[in-house]
Amino acid sequence: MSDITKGMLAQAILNDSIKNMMMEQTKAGMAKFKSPEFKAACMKAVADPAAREALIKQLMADPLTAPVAFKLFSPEAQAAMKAQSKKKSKGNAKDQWVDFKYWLKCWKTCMHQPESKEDKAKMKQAQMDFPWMIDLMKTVSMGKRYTEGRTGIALQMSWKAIIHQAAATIEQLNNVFLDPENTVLAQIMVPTQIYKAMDLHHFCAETPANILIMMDQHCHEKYIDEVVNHGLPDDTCNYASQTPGVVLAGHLPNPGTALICSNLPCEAGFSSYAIVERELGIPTYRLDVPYNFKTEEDRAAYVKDMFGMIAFLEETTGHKMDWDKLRKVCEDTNKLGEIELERWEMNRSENPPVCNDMLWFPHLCFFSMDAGRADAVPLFEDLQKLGRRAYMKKECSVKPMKYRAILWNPPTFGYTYFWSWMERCWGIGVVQDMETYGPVNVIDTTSPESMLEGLALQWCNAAMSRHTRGPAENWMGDVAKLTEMYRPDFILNLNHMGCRSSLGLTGAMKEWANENDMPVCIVDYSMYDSRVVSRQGIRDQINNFMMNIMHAEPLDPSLLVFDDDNAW
Amino acid sequence: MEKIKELAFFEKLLNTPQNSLVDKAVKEGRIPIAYNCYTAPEALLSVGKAFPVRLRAPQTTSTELATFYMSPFTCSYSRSILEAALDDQYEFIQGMVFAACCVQIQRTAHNYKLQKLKGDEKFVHYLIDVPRKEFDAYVPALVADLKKLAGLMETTYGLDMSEENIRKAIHEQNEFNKLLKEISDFRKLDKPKITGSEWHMVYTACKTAPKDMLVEPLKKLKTALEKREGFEAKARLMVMGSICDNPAYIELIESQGCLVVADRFCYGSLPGMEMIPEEGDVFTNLALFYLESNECPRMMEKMEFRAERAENYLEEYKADGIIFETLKFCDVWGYEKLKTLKILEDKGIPCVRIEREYALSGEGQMKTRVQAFIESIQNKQLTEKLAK
Repeated sequence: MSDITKGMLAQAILNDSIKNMMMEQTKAGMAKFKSPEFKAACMKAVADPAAREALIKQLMADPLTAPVAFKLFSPEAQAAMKAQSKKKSKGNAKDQWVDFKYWLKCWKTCMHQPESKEDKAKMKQAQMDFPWMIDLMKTVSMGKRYTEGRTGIALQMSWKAIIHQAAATIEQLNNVFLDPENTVLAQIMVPTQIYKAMDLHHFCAETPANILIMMDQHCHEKYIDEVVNHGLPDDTCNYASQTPGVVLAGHLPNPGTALICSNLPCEAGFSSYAIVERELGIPTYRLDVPYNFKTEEDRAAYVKDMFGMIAFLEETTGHKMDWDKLRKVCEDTNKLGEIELERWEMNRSENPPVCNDMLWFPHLCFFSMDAGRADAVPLFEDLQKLGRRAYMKKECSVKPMKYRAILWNPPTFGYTYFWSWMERCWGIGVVQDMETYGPVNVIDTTSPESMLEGLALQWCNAAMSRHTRGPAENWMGDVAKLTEMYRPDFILNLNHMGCRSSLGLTGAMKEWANENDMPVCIVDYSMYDSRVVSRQGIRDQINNFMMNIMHAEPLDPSLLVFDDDNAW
Repeated sequence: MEKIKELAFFEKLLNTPQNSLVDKAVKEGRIPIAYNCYTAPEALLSVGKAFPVRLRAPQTTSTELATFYMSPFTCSYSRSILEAALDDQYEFIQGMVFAACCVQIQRTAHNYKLQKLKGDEKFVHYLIDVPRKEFDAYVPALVADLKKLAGLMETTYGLDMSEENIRKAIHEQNEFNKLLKEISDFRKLDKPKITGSEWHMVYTACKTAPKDMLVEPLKKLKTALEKREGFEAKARLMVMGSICDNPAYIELIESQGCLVVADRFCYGSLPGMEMIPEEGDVFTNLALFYLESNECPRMMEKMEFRAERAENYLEEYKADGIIFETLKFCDVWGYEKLKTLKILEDKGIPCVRIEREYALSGEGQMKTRVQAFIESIQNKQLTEKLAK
């Protein structure tokens, strides 16, 4: 409603004469629309473009119809409608159907309600107490943004992973609100397989901020501000600072059982959990991933640390470790590892079938955030089947794929459709990324010790342990290795301004790139705060690189610059 | 208050990393090994001809090269150290031992290795993985790490790193610390005989030159201080926080009429003068000593312990308040504002937080902040007196 109309309405309430005048005008308008002349003009406009133009002009000239006519027929409105229909179009009817089907499924997953009335009431109350839960509804929109412009097998793969992750997040919420006695609060990057073997649920403390930012770039900013208002320097890594912000705002559900965290990914990460511990007042166990995890002594010590964590959980929660169950969980983890290796291998081909978030997102969710889920196996088997089909058909997930890239450092969480934008604007396919890549080891399930050793090795090799903390050889060595394996056209190095560790090797990366004649696109950004570097700011840096270094032509110039500062 | 001429000796040692004593020792064929942190065991680096030199960058005012390698968003200490190394200010050192205290200093170590060491086999470049929590299982790992370092020193420099020699080095360090402690205790007096900046100058100099060459000057200083009259000040303060190896900062604080009586910061002496056990296995003693005495916020589980220790220091040194200084981009100390400092503030201890850079800058602003802080302490004291 325009301001003029609002003003008139407000006045009409006070003034009967204005009210009567408006009523008269509305009646006149309605009579005009119902008149046989107008109907005839409309019929003529359908068949004759000249008549259509004349009718639009007439409608725009009439003060009564002008606001609506302008919104429908102005060149800007037409362009926006075209763009919208292009955005929604999935190429062919089959893709359109697939998209619609998964869209419905995603809604169904998000609207999932507990069965009992009591539980429903508890969840409703939780939504009142923890307002960020409402943001979860934006998952469907996130799915749409991820899959924008995607077709074929890639479209299915994207939706499947998103829906699965949405279900996993809802399960976590159910755990913490409906079964808090059997739920532990946990940081990501901690061996989640152990909770599962102990028949414990877990709620990821990062969910309210770090995960939800993927749904809406601004929904978590209040938490960053909260912690800064308490005195934390604002240049601190906002990956780490958000969770204490959530706690200080009183928005983190507290199961009251135990908190499990670690020294990852850096000092800011583990320091932040001291605040969580103090504010929530729950018993806490911290794993200390060694710096030199490649030495046997250090890894043996880490295994003992994991035994310590199990003993702590047994003592605080009363749950006992079931080694047979851990064996099953480890076997599932091994299966996932095997599938993952195949997916990586397929991406080495000329037509990589699992690029961008299709590679990164499932790995993040089911290797780093919630590893050991039994239902991740069928998901990965599905993804594997789809991947194989695409590989056999030589169907690349990026259509058309113009550039192969390796993404170094974590992607931008505040810009969910960054991947799909790169695909549509420049035809960039990220064939491997730092958060995904790492040595995959097979866990030996013969004894409790061997299982924990396997898990220790797996978690020591996780991205934030291996690359952003360990020796520089891990970092530089992996860049060189991936370059050799995947033959990228360039490396996309996203420099999160709060990550001291990756920033500390910026120069080394540049020198390595010069020596190896490998273009590197260095993008400065803040991983969780688009107020520091906006989405367009990120796009500008990539656009400049693509135009000036790669001498590329954009596939869709309308995507070079557009305003999405306030979009989800 | 008169200046003591004995202090000039220490002051000169701080002008450059390669000071006159280091120069002399190198000419005598001794082996300078640079280190970065309290947790890098000085005693181990003092065996035989080796001697430790703690990394400082007194001549570095800008960090263009290091900023290229480490970006402008890392702490200025890490960058200054790298800059000094790239600027060949550390050409005299024959080894570099880092403790993996934080990621930024780790990256300094990595960059140093990548840029300066091209397969130099006569150079020990080692990063000790000091655990982030006191957990029994990590002690053997740290012991193994220290043994590996000792082995490297033995093979690279031909030093005899036997238990006996290490024990001797530990004993010498303990004796040296005893002497230092005696001087440090002058700060506890009602009228301290040494100012905070003077003490910081002495202590920093002791970390950057061979200790055996400092014993006599320290004894002379002690004698001179004994004869000195004490200082009176508007307030007695404790400085706590990130690394500070520049006595000019403390001098600047004291220029506002207070005395810094306790230095609870990296490169400060609290902790730093404790006795390492000499009986038993030397490596285990060293590992346990550095894990237990460590008060750095890098230790994940010692928040309460740090607050308790800070309170003890306040009491022991009769300090009225805390200046909490953090280097920009220092994450470990940045978070301490919300952790340890919050505990102290909740107990009613006057605190002020100052953010600074490694090289001396922003003097005017800092003076104003300190002045206001001192006034607030005085007001508080006055109010309390009136209430009584």
